[in-house]
Amino acid sequence: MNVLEQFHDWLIDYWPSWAAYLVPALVAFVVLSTFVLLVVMAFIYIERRGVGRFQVRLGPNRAGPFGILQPVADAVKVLTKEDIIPAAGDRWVHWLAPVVAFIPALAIFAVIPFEERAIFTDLNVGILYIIAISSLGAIGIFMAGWGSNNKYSLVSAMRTMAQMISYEIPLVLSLAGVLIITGSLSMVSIVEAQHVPFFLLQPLGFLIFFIAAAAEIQRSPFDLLEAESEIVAGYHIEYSGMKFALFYLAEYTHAFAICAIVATLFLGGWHGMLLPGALWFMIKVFLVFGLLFWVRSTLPRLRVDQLMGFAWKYLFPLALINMFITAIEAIIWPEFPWQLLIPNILIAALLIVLWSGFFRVAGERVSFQRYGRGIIKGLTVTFSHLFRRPITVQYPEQRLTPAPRFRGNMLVWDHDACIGCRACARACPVSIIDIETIRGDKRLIVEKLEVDFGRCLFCGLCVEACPVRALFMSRDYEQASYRREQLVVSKEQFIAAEKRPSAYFYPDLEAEMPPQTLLAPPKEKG
Amino acid sequence: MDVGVTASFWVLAVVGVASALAVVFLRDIFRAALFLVLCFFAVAGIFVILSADFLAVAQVLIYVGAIAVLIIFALMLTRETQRGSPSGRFRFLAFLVGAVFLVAMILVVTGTDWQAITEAPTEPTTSSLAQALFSEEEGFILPFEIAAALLLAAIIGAIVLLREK
Repeated sequence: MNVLEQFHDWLIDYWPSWAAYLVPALVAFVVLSTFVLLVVMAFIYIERRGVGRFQVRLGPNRAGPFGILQPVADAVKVLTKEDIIPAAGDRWVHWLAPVVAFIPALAIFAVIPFEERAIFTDLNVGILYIIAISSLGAIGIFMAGWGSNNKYSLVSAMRTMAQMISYEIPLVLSLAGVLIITGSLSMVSIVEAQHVPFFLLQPLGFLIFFIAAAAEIQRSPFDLLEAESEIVAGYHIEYSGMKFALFYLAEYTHAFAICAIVATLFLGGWHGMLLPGALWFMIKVFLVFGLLFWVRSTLPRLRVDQLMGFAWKYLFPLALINMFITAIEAIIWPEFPWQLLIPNILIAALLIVLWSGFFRVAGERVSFQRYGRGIIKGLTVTFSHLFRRPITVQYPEQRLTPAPRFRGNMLVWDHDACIGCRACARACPVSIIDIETIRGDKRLIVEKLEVDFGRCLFCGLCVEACPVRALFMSRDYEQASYRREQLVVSKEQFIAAEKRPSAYFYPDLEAEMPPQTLLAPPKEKG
Repeated sequence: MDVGVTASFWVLAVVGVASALAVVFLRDIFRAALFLVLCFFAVAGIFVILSADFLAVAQVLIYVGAIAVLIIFALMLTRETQRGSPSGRFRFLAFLVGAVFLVAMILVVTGTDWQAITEAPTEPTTSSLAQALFSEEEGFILPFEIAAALLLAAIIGAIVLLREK
C-alpha cells in the first residue's frame, strides 16, 4: 500500500467518497509536479555548468553564488518575452503543440517509484504505460512542425518521426530481458526483483536502452531535430516566450523521466545501503543524467543515415540477440542467480565488438576497433577537463599561450640585415610582398617595402626563402583594424614596430626567447 | 456504480463521439488526424474505466503511438494538404458504402442482446491475458504463432517487392 492509498483510507472516514478520491490525487499531483519542476531546474543548472566544465568553459556564473540563480533568471526572461505566432501558420495547432509535448513527459512520473511506497500509482502494466506515453511527445513536435508553417520546422518534424520509429523498437526489445527476469510489468516489482542491479545481469540491455532512450529524448549526439547547423533550431524555430520555455521544460522533464526509468529498471531503484531509499534513487538519477550530458558534451552529432543505420543494423539485432539469450538463460536457470552476470558481461562485450564488424554505413565498415577506441578516448578527454582548474585568461591584459606549432602571424623585418635580394617576394604564393630596391655603395638598399597582411596566408615561405636571417615570423597575433588599408604594413612601420620574432624556422631562437607570458601585468585584485 | 466512474464515462463518451465527428467533418486533414488521436485517447480512457488496463495501454501504444503517427507522417508527404479534402469522383459511391455500413452497424447494435457482466474484473489482467494467449492447454498459441509468421512474411514480401526495382 502506498502513501497515497493510506491518505485516502484516512480521509474516507471524514469526507464523502468522491472527495476522498479527488483530494489525495490532486495533492499528489501538485507535489509531484512541483518536485519534478524543481529537479528539472537543478538539471538545467547542473547541465549548463557541467557541460561548461567538460568543454573548458566556465558556464553561467553571474546570477547568484556560482550562478545558481541562472534558471530563475532564464525563467523570468522567457516569461516576459513577446509571444509570436506565425501569420500563415495554424494558430490552434501552434498553440497546443508545446502542451502536447509537455504533458506526456510529466505523465511518465505517475508510475515512477521514488521509494517503496512513494509512487503515484503502481500500475500493473507500468512499463508498458511508460513506453506508450513517452512516444506521445513526438506528436507535440509534429504539431509544432506543422503549425509553424516553416520548412525547417517541417524537416525537423519528419526527422523526429523517422528517429522515433527507428529507436522505439530497440528500446522496447532491450527491456524484454528485464521483463523476462522479473516476470512482471509493474515498476515496483521490477525494483523488488533486483537483488543484483540489472545493469550487471543485463549489460547489453542496459547499453541499448540507454542509447535508444537518449535518441528517444533527442539528446545529443541524436539531436538531429534541432541541429542548429543544418535546420537552425528545428521544430521550435517559430516559438518564443513561454511556449518555447514549455518545449525546453518538456525536453528536460523527459530527460529526468528517462533517468528515473534507467535508475528504476537497471540500477536497482531505491535499493541501497545506509541512506534512505528516496535519496538513493535521486543519487542514481543524477548519476545517469551526468552520464547523459557527459556523452552529449563529447560526441558529435550523427548524420541522418548514420542514425538510421545505427538503430536498424546495430541496436536492433543486438537487442533481439539479447532477448533470446536472456530467454534461454531464464529457461535453464529460472531463479536467475547472480553468477550469471559474468557470462552476460562477456557475451555483451563480445557481441558489441563482433557485430560492429558487420555494420556498414554508406558502404563504409564501422568497426568497434576503429571507432570505439576513439569514442572512449574522447570520453576520457572530456572527463579529464572536469578536474582542470577553471582559469579564465584575461585576454587583452594577458596573452594566450600559442599552440606548440603556431608559426606566428605578421612578420618581423631586420632592416640592417636585409640585402634586398627580393627572395621573399618571389617565394610568396599570394604576391603580397612589394619590395623595391636601389643600388647603394656596397649593396642594395630597400627603397620601399609593403606587405598586405589582409591577404597573408602566414605560410612562412618568405621566412624560409630569406638567405640572411632578415625575416622572421612574429609572435604577435592580435591583428585587427577598422580599415583594410591599415593592414598594409610599410617599411617605416616595420622598422618602428616592436620586434618579437617567433622561433619558426630558426629553432635556435627558442632559447633566447622570453617566456610566453604577459604583455602587461595582470590587474591586481583589491 | 460510483459517481466518479459514471462522470468520467460520460466525459470520455462525449469527447470520443465529438472528436470522431470532428474527424469526419473537418476539412483540414491535419486537424482531423489530431482529433483522431483524441478519439483514440477517449477510447483508451473507457478501457481504463472497464478495468482493462492492458487493453488501454495497448490502445495508446498501437493506435496513438503507431497508427496515428503514421497517418500524420503520410499527411506530411501529401501534396496540397492545405486545401483540405476536395470531393472526388467517387463521392456517390463513398456515400453508398458509408450508408450501407451505417445501417449494418445500427442493426447489429440494436439487435444484439447486451449483457452486463456482474462479477468483479480479474486482477491483475496481464497474467490472465498471457495465460489465455500462450498457455498450451486452452490458449491460442498456434493461431498466435501463425499470425506472427504471416505478418513477418508480409513484411519480408514488401521489402522484396521494393528491392527488385
